[in-house]
Amino acid sequence: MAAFPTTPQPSFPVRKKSSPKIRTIKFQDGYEHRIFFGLPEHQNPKEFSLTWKNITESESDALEAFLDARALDGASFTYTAPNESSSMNFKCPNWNKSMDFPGRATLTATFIEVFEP
Amino acid sequence: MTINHDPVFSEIQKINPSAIIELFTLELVVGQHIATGNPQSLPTKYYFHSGSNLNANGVIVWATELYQRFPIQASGFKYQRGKIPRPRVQISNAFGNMSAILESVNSITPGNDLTNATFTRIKTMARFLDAVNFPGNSNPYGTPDPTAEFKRQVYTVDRKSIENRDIVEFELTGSIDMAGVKAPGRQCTRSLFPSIGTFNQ
Repeated sequence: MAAFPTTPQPSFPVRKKSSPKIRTIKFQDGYEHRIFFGLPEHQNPKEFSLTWKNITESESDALEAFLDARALDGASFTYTAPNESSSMNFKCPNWNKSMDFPGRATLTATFIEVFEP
Repeated sequence: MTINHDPVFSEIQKINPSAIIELFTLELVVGQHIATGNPQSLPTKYYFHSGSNLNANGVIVWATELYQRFPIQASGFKYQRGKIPRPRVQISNAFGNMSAILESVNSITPGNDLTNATFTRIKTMARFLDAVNFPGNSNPYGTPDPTAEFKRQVYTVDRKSIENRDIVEFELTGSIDMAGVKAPGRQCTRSLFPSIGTFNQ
């Protein structure tokens, strides 16, 4: 599995979103039942919103070329997100590149964790 | 095959029970879906689970059987007003796997579309899964128990309701609810067995 380039590092702030797919049944008096369907570790995929601010055009091309290649082969990739201890498997459903200054670019991307070998 | 309901029933009554794991099998009939005698040694039983395990995201292993990672969901198992439920199962056809199976089945019995194949839903819990599903080959949730299952739901494929590029959908039915199947299978009259009707004195 391909690894996402480690340089340049994304700029802060980085947003990490978790929303476990837990089934909750709760009616008005308040006591609730919670249960997972499927392995719990796989019901909590992480979603990272990453930004590479003001990187050079060639750096952004390298990152974008990687994401384009993953869009073509449909494969997931490994990446160690900022402040994470280990790498995870991700897909990148969408990303944006904005070119605000000549020769500089800002890339924003959403990485969603997937569970596949 | 032994199935013991007690471990799952006591687990599900806890405050925070272990996660429910849903597994599916599709069993084909040799002679109807596969050429008689299975000369090509095709698989007669397919195992599906809509997820991967925690050991490098491999396939889920339940009672030493491998359940392939495959998008699959089934619904409509509820009993209501005395009718036998007709659940629907949707299986991904994005890679054409199901169409390939259907094509091979229809080459044996034209127009069969897997009718009469046996579809089973197995439900167990994460804590009873085989140790091989977890990193370090040890189940962190509890002790593996290959006999701990909810009641198996065994249905027969009645018809293929959808086949497109995305999914294949089957409508399932109870084994006595098939078209052309009657219960009892044979009616017995006094001409066959003279003492019929003489017992209830």
